[in-house]
Order: sequence, then structure tokens, then C-alpha cells
Amino acid sequence: MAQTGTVLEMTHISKSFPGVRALEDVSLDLAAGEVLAVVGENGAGKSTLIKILSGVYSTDTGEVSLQGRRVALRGPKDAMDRGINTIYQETSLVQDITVAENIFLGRQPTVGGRVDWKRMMESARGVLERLSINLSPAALVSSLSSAQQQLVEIAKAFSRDAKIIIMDEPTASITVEDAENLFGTIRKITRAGTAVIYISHRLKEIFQIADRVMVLRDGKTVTVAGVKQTTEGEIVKNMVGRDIGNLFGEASYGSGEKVVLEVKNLTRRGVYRDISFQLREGEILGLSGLVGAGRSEIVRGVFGLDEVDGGEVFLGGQKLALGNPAAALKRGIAFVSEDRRLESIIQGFTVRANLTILLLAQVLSRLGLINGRKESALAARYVKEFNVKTPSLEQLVMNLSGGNQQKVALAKCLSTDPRVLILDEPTKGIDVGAKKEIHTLIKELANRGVAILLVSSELPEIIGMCHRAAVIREGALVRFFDKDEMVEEKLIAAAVGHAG
Amino acid sequence: MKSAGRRTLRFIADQKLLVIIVALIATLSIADSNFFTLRNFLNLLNHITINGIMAAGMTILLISGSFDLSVGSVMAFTGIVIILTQSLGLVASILLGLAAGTAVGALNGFLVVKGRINAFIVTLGTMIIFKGLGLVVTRSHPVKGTIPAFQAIGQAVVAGIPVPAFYLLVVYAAVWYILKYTKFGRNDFAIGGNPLSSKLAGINVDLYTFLYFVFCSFTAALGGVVLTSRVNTGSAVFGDQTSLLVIAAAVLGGTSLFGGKGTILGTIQGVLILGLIEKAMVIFNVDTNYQLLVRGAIILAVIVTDALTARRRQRAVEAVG
Amino acid sequence: MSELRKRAVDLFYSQTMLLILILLVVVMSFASKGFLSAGNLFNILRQFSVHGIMACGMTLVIIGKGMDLSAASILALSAVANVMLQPYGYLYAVAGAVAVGLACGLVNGLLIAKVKANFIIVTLGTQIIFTGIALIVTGGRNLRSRPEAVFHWIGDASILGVPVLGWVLLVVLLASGVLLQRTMAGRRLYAVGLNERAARVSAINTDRIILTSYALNGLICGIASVLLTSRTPRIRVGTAADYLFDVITIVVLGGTALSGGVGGIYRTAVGLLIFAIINNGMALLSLPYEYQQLVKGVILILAVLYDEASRRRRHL
Repeated sequence: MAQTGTVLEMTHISKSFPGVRALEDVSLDLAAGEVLAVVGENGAGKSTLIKILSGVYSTDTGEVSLQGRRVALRGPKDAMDRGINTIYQETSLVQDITVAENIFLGRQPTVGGRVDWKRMMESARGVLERLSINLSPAALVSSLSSAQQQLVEIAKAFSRDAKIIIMDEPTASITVEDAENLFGTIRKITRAGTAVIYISHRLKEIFQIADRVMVLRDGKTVTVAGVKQTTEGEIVKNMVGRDIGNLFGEASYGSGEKVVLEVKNLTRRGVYRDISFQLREGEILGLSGLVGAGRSEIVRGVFGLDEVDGGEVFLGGQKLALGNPAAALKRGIAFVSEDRRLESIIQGFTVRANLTILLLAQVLSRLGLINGRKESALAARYVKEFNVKTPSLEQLVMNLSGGNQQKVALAKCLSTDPRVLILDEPTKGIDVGAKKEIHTLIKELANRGVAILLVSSELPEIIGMCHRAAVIREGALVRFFDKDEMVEEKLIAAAVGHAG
Repeated sequence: MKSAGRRTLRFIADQKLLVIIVALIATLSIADSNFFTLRNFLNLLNHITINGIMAAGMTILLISGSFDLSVGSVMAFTGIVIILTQSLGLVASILLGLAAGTAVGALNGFLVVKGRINAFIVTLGTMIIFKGLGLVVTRSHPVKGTIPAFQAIGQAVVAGIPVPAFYLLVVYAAVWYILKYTKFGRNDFAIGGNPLSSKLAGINVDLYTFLYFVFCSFTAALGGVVLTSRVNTGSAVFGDQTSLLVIAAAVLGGTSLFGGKGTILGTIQGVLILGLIEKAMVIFNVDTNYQLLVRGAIILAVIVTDALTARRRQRAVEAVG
Repeated sequence: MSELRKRAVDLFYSQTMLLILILLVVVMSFASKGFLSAGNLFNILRQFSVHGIMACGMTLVIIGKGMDLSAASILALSAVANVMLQPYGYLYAVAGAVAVGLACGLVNGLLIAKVKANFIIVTLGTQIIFTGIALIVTGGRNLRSRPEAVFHWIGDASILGVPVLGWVLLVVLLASGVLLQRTMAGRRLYAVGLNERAARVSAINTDRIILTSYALNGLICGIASVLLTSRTPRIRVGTAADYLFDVITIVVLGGTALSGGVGGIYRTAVGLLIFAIINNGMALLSLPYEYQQLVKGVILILAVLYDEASRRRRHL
């Protein structure tokens, strides 16, 4: 019967953060032993949903019920105690101890006051065999591959009588063979009554393992359908299909002819391979794709922040030394990181100090010392030009709103007058007004001849801003889209690997 | 049966520390004809007892991911308290000393766990405070013990074997058992390896961390008892470099400063190696000042190696994951 | 009203130490008659000039989010070099001291910045090594500084009524202050101390900056050793040890955060004055040595707690 089998019910869940509605009136139910897949493009609300279920966030409205009883999850530990286990991509195992100890972390079996290793090994072996996991309980976790570690996490959750196991992109970086093992284990635990919520963008896998599929878009539920009652194409269509309208105003001018940046066969083992593209003067090239596809890593590799295993980058025809951000900056490449808190600006510095950090050489007095007046004048100029809303130049940047912080980050990078500007999610988490300002700014820069590489997870942004787009899927550049080919559905389809 | 044999062979081959120990013993035996005698070995055992006992406690704390710079001061302070309270009786004075020393550990643990101040600052601070307190209480003069029986603790010999060797054995057996067979010990590895997961799994990370600090200071206090009884003197200048040497011994033995791994067997080997090096410097008539230099160099070498290996491990994890 | 109140609270916190200093001066001038005399004040200056100079170097390292626990042993070793080179002329003696200090600083810097070992254990280890070298070179004996005229001048003379030691301290304070606030390197040091990752993204060579901070600290300790040998003709290697905790106390007391990226020479100067006055006060009150040590230890703990509380307030 549906009622007794229902293990989870979420009704009318809404959750907002300053400036963005992450989830709006989302409801779902989950039966014991079922696999529910949740799909949606970046920002659709999947991760917020997981965080609510795993107790990290509270809800603004709506209820969560476990096995018919309403609950208010008080934190990650509370969720776990109630039988909701989440398995993330980053492992939560203790590396230097055995598989068995990890499975029984904190609840080692004891006999007469001392740890009963024999029983722990036997019980662990029992759990592993029951789930058809081919691992020895005495193996050190550090010697296992990440796919194997994931299986151990499932065994750990299962042995804690998890009622619901949430898996966030479990097959993101494992082989096909490992994926088959994973599915085998999932089937075993569902047969035992555990329900699984399976977040993934790999539609083929969803059709292999899931019973039902839920599509989220812009924080709302679009459809929930049985896997047998729908097709890949329909899912893709449901993932997009919004009316972009005219959010982006005037298109920028066409790009110039001169190739400013050329990337050839850029490769980083295990992350991305053979990335090649050309970027022209005044062109905005978008890098689209799903989170985790490797876009950020690619551009960071170009700028020199992350390591690169192979390939070359040419700036203005001349080879660029990789792995050296200072050199890249000097040659004319600027980079705005997606991490505002930790990377693109220095939170503890004043607005003035952040703006001038790359330009200190310009504000020196005759003695070679920093001239305070020149520095403030320079900073004031940028504040005005970029319309940064701050009570004063001496305000600590951490006290500004996200949008203004981003403007400071941009201004700082542009202060070096770069030929190429790399933007990694420039408008993430920013209010609409500031977003528009930044878009206008980017377009102006392109019109002035700056070549721009734009990594974005917002399809409307890609479509509205870029001359061309490259879709990255699982570390490979799948295809290019010209302006007239850019349609949300096609971009998503390429990103998830759904053939036309 | 063959695989068990092969496994033991591989185990022996992996014992780099044992190789170093054997090499050191061999060299010293050649250099000094008196070295390879039972009496000398017992003497050696006697010498490494104090640092050895303290290293055992430090190992447990290190595995959990913290460290304690105040153990030297605790050792000295315990001795001072014992000597100064000997008028209350032998047993009472020893208990008071142990209590005082262990209390420092409680202070350390409290400040780290509840005050959320990092272990370095806290233990550096208690190191200074209790050294200063020791100086104040003794008016900067070493104080002599007044109960002859007290000296027996550190100096007695039973069946030809110095009694402190037994203490060493007992402590190491105890710590070995703790690390292998108690939740206290197993959770140590969990907390050091992944504190967040441990917390989620229901392990009371705060409480255990507190207890590890207490335990470390307790072994330091034990060391203080043995030291003070051996020289029958309490002085605040004892233990200046002890903390570093104890940490170095444990790290040399394979316990990482970064937490999550370590073995008591490795620690005793580390202690033994450091002890042998000290002995070697005496046999080769190395100037006391050079000895200082060598000690510092070894500590540095051990730490640097640990830092480099930890980074390699970290990168390996990232590559796999 | 609440905006004004917020500003007042901020001002209070940022100038707490200055207020404490003023309070101290007022209290001391009532508590002890001789306190405000020129003789006493200049005496304080002479006594704490070495501390003050070393505190400048330590400030640099702490702003870069590190600490140099070997500073006192660098002082000792440089002093040894100074005395041993005195027979060859005072210029060599000074140059030698500074060079030795710089070399020690470089050793620290390389191990910490390039090998990336833990700065606590590294500097504790180098402390042992430097002390060891000093002991070896002196054979454990005390050193006698030669009664050269130049050193007498540095140690005892006055310019415009202020002791030469005080002038040297002032110069070092100003120089390091300018370095921190008004040079590109100083600005970058603050950036590295606040957020090393972001600094790297801004193409700052974080390794080099950190290396430089430790090297400069060594150099400054070398300079301090010159003053030390001219003030106290008899050098014992052991006496240098006290300096370390005093210097750290001074820097933390002044308000430079142990977590890096915050603070500066102005604050250190305030900390120096507070520390000096408290010490002077204890001496004027004839407090026994051990109690003075205890008080100093307590001050350090309080200073650290205050630093921790400020850090929480700053949410950094």
C-alpha cells in the first residue's frame, strides 16, 4: 500500500536566500525501496533540496515527514540519527583505518569492555557480502579507489539502518565498470527496503537505475514521472523551456578577426582532456556545461592557478608559460575567480587596498613609496567607474554586498588593462540590479576589444551574452555553438550527453 | 602457510627504524667495547625511560591531531610539587604531584576544546606559566627531597633490572592495549583522521580531545615522578627541550604531526633511536654544545620529513579521489 | 544613535591598548614618585631598546601569519659574532652581527616558505641549533665585549638628550613602519597574512614574501644584537632566552593579530610602551624576580586571549 510504504514526504517546501529563491513550493514523496532520480540544470535547486534533507538548511515553509511523522531536522547529525544518510562526492571516510572500522565508526562492537575485532570484521564482511561489494573488511581505506570508497560509504549507511540514502552525482568520476558495481549495490539495498534519492545528470544511468524521475527548474518542480512513462528527450525539454525574454538588451557587436588566445590540447589527467579553442579580439566565448564538468579547472589551468599535464596556450601568437599566474597577468590575462570569499578579493582588506593591489607600481611617489593620495585617487576613480556602492574607500570589502564585492573584483582585474579576461561565474549569487550592471560592463569591454572567456552555469546568461559557446561535458569539449544555434534545449542536451 | 611467512618477511623488511637501531647498536658496539653488555643495555633502558613514558602519552595526543609543548614544564612542575609536599608523606606527595601535572592537561584540554584556541598557543602558554610558577614556588633554587624511600622509585633495581624499565614496559603495554582494544584509542584515529565524520558518527570529539590532553599530561607527570626520584631534586629548569624531543621521538616513530596515524611500537623505536644517538654522542666525546646542535638538527630533520611525506600523502589522496 | 554607538565601540576596541597605556602612565605617575623623571624614562628607553627592535622584526613575521621562536637565539648568535669580530674593528663587528642574523633568518625562511614545514616546530628546532652553535663557538664561556669607544657611545651616550639607543630604536620603528605601510612588499605581506590563496590569485609570490619576512626578522635581530653588546658588556648565551617571550608579548599586546594580516608598527610601539612601563613599575616596586616572571607570563596569556577575542569579533 502506498501509505505504509511511504518513507519520506516533503510538502510545499520553500527556501530563499538573500536575493534568490532556491526552492519554491516543492513537494515530493518517496516510497521504501524506491530509487528517485532528481535532475535539473545548475541552480535548479537540487543541492538546496539535499541540504534541507540532510539537515544542513532549515525550510522557510513546508513540512518534512518521515514515515508519516512530521519532523524538524535539527542538523546533520539529527538527520543521520533519523536514518537519512548523504553521500557526497568528497569522501567522509577516515583514510588511515580499515573498512570495517569505518563502517562501525563510533559504534565499534565490544566484548567485555574491549573492542571485539573479530566480530567487527565478521559483521563488516556480512554487510559487504550482502551488498555484493567485493572488498575486504581489513583493507585500509586509503588503499581504495574513490569508487570503492563510495561503496564503503553505502555499506556504512546501510549498516546504520539508513532509511534514505541520498547520492549526489555518485558516478561523476568513476569508470563504467565501477558504475555497474554501484548499481548492483543500489539494487541490493533497495530490495532491503532502503530508499535512494539519486542526483545525477547522466540520463542514461537514470533510466538504468531509477524508478521515478523528478525534474527541477528554477526552484520549482516541473514533473515527477515514472521512468517507464517518459523519455530522455522529454526530460531535457523539461529541464529548460523558460522564456528568456529580453533580459540582455542590445547584443554586442560582432567580434574582431584577430585571434588573441589560442588553447591547444589542454589536458589535465582525470579532469579534462584535449581542450582546444580560439578566442578572438572582442569576442565573448562562453563555457557551458554542468557543474563538475571541468570548466573552472580549464580556465584556471589557462591562467596558471591549477596544474596542467599537457597542451599549450598561446597569447597573441606567443607561447604562454603555464602554471605562472604572475606571468599570465603580465602578458595580459586577467582572471576573476568564482570564489569571492577565498580567492577573487581579499576579504580583510579595504576597498582601496583591493582595488590597488595589482597596480601599486603606479601609485608610487618619487622615493618609491606608496603615495597615499595617489592611491586613494586611483581607487576613487575605479569606485566611480564601476559604480561600487560603498560608504567609503576604507570600508572592509567583506562588509559589501555580493554584487559590490564582485564589482571590486572585476575592477581590480581590469586595472591591469588585460587583453583577455577570464570570468568564472561572474554573476553567481548576485542581485538582479548588480547582475545587469555587470553584464553591461562585460559587453562594453568586448566592444572595446577585450577577449572574454565566460564560464557560466546560467544558460540565459550564456545565450544572452556570448558570441559563441563551447559545451564541456565530463572533461571534454563536446561542441561549439554559434550565436544562432544557441538554444537552451540544445545546450543542455549537449551538456548531459543526450543526442539531439 | 607460505603467504604468512612471506608477510612476516615483508613486515621485517619494512622496518626501517629497526634497521637504524641495529646499525646504531652495531656501530656503538664496535666503537666501545663495553657497549654490548647487558649492564649497558639496562643502563640505556634506564636513560630512555622518562622520555619514553612521555612519548607514549604524546603519541596518543598526536594521533588525534593535536600536540602539547608543555610536557617538559609539567614534568618539572610535578617533581617540584612532590618535593615540596613531602612533609605530608610519601604517597600523598606523589599523588599530589600527579594530580598537579594531570591538572595542567585538563587546563590545556579545556582551553583548546572550549576556548577553541589552537593547541600551539595554549600549550606554549601553559609551558611558560608552569615554568614560571615552578620558579616562583622554588624561588629559583632547586629543592632537595627529604624522604629517602622516594628515591627507590627511580633508582631501585630488581633482579638486576632497574625498576623504571618496568614502568616503561607497563606504560607501553597499556598504551598498546588502549590504541588497539578500547574505544578511547580507536576513536583517537577517527578523530585525527576525519574529525567531522567522527562527529557525525556520534563520537564526542570535544570530550575525547580533552581526555587526550589529560592523558598526555598524565604521562608527563609520571615522567616527572621518575626523574625527580632519580635525582631526588625538584627544579624548574628541568625539561626545557624535553617537549620537542618527545614529539620528535614520536614523529620519528611514524606518528604524524597531522594526525590520524601512529603506532606505539614505532614510538618506542623512535625513543630508542634518539636515546642511542645521545649515548653515541657521549661515547664519541662530543662536546655538550655540539650535542645541542645535533639534537636540534635531528628534530628539524624529523619534522621536515614528516611535512614532506604528509604533503605527498595529501596529493596521493587527491589523485585517487 | 546606534551608528554613533557602533563607531564608539569600534574606536574603543581599536584604541584599547592606547587607552590602557594612558591609564598606566597616569597610575604609575601617582604610584611612584620617580616615575615621570627624565632619568627614569630614558632608563626605560635604554632598557627596552633591544626588545623594541626585535619586536619590529617579529611584527613582520606575525603579520605574515607566522612566528619566529628562534628570534632570541638569533640575537644570541649575532651577539657572539659581534663580540668575536670586535678585535678586527667595529665595522666588521657590526657587519658580522647583521650578516649572521640575516643568515639565520634565511634558514628559517627557506624551511618554512620553500619546504613548507610547520613554522612552530621549525623555529623551535632552529632555536636549538642556533643556540648550540653559539655555545660551541663560545665554548660555553661568557663573552666580554671590548670596551671600544664606539660601543660605549652607542650604549651610554645621548644625542639631544635622548640616548643613542633610543634613536636607533626610533629609526628601526620608522623604517619597519614605512616598509609595512608604504611599500609594495609590505602591502603584499598583509595580503599573504590575510588570505594566502587570494594573494596567489593576485599573482603575489607568497613564498618569496614569507621568506623575506623571516630573513628581515633575522636581520633586525642582528641589529638588535649590536645594541645588546653595547649595552651589556658581558654576554651570556642563556640570557637571550628571556627575550623571546617578552618580544612576543609586546607584539601581541600591541594588537597585531596572531592570525596574520592585521596590525602594524604603531601598535607594536604601543605594546612596547605598555610592557616597558609595567616592567619598570615592577622594578620600582622591588618585586622579586620570580613574581615578575609570573606576571609577565600572565600578561602574555591575557594578551593572547584578547587577541583571540578580537579575532572572533572580526569574524576573520
